[in-house]
Amino acid sequence: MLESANWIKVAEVGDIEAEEAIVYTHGDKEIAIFFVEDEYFATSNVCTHEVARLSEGYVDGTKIECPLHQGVFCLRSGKALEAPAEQPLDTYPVKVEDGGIFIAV
Amino acid sequence: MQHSTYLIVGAGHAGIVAARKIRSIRPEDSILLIGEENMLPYERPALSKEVLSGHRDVSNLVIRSAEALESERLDVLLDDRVEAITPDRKMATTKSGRHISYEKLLIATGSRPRHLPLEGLFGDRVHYLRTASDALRLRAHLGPKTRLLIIGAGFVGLEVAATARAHIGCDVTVLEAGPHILGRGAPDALRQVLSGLHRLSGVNILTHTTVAGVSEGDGSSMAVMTAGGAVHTCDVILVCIGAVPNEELARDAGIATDGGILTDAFGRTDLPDIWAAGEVARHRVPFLDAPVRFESWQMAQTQAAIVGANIAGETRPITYVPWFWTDQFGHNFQLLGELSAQADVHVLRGNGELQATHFYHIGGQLVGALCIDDGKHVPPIRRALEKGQSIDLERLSDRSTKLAKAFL
Ligand SMILES: Cc1cc2nc3c(=O)[nH]c(=O)nc-3n(C[C@H](O)[C@H](O)[C@H](O)COP(=O)(O)OP(=O)(O)OC[C@H]3O[C@@H](n4cnc5c(N)ncnc54)[C@H](O)[C@@H]3O)c2cc1C
Ligand code: FES
Repeated sequence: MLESANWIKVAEVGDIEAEEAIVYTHGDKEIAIFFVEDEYFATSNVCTHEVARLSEGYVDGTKIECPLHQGVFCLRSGKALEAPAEQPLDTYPVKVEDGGIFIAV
Repeated sequence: MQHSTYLIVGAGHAGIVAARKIRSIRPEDSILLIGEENMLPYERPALSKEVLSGHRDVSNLVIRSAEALESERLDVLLDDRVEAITPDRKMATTKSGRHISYEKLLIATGSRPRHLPLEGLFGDRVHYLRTASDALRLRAHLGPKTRLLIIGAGFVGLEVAATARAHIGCDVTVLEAGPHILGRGAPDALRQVLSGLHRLSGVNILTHTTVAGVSEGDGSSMAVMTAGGAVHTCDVILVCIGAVPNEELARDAGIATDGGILTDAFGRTDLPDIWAAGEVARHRVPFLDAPVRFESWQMAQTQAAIVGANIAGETRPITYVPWFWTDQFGHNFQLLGELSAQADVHVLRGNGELQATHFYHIGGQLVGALCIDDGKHVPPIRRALEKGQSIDLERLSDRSTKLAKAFL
């Protein structure tokens, strides 16, 4: 299924510092790509509570804490872990190939 | 007579948080929340912000949907008010005449706006802001050029001033009796930044200004007289002069109250099997000598979750790093810990227009912080405050240093 998905190259390996994120805009979607513990995660960049950019939040292991009201989400599943976040984040598959980082949207 | 093992008075934010916590520990027991409002438990912070500006619908503030509550088997009775508690018989009586017995009772009745004696005199032109219906009613009265006069420059008053000015285009005047905005507790740096933002956007804030009276003006306007003899003509008045805890129900039942329902470090009142949580509770915390009552989201969330766990049989002392936020003019302000006027303040500026973190130290010890558009710093600072860590100010001067690495 993923094979047929639309893989887009968003960055080169090394572009994202540990525990940081870059932002990729696809149509009207803003996607954050995080680099944590040698793994990449792609989620919607906008908090589901109000309007805040999670790429400006605080990465703690595989969790992201929103900079506005400190709601917490799981980067892997998108699940809302701590209030005021209630609704999950969209997540996108990520792969690394030939030194490039790709996401499927 | 109806019976519920756990009965929660007040179907607000603290009530639902505690109820869910109890459910997670007691999967089988019956849990009933009774609320005076006609809306399922919801969060209030957006009322003075996105709801007023029209960017968020009130239905969107509800914490758990009716379906979610049903699947968690949390019963909610709305539009009814608990009028009396009879501790000897472990029973509550509601306005509609229901009698409900319980094994354990939680009082989470929140607070209400302090009133000025203007009721009835000016009909729907005088407003208060606490509930979703208050916010909708206020919004319906505001439009471009509406002359809005806000009495009280506390957080809610300033948030409404910012929203009404920036998003609705009202002409806003704020009258504050005290010497400065935000009362005693707030740090100077926050007062300065907020005063500047309000001034720049054209909100007229007058401190040292006490309201002496209100009378009818021309047409549907009102004339607000100040003690200094000035007259302010306005179309709508919003009174934001603080909140009063809804403690009477408890007091009348013989429970100790003192500007809030008094509880121990676990949330217990002085009567057996009766607990209090959320903004109504004046509770003991390990970091202060006197019991405290904070009006903040954190009370309804963190404190209520701890009390909920304790009612369900656990024994966890209430503790947290005090935390409060306000959003005004598109900027986010977060206050953590103790922002004492006696502290030494070290400021770490960011790239954004106002972006900065202010670190408060007393005797070399980090006691609190103010983060302006700098929420990324909140988690490491919260953790440092929990652990009693200090920061290496030298290492902080370079913003590229990850904050967590500067904690000693
Ligand atoms: C406009 C506004 C903006 C805010 N903004 C912020 C912010 O930006 N940041 C922040 O940290 N905090 C903010 N707060 C504070 C935060 O929302 C409150 O501290 C929080 O709602 C407290 O929750 P609570 O459950 O204790 O009380 P409430 O949410 O008030 O719930 C109590 C409920 O009990 C009901 N009740 C009372 N008596 C009875 C009775 N006898 N029988 C049945 N029901 C009863 C009430 O009707 C109410 O629904 C704001 C508050 C307001 C009003
Ligand atoms: S906007 Fe993210 S928690 Fe509020």
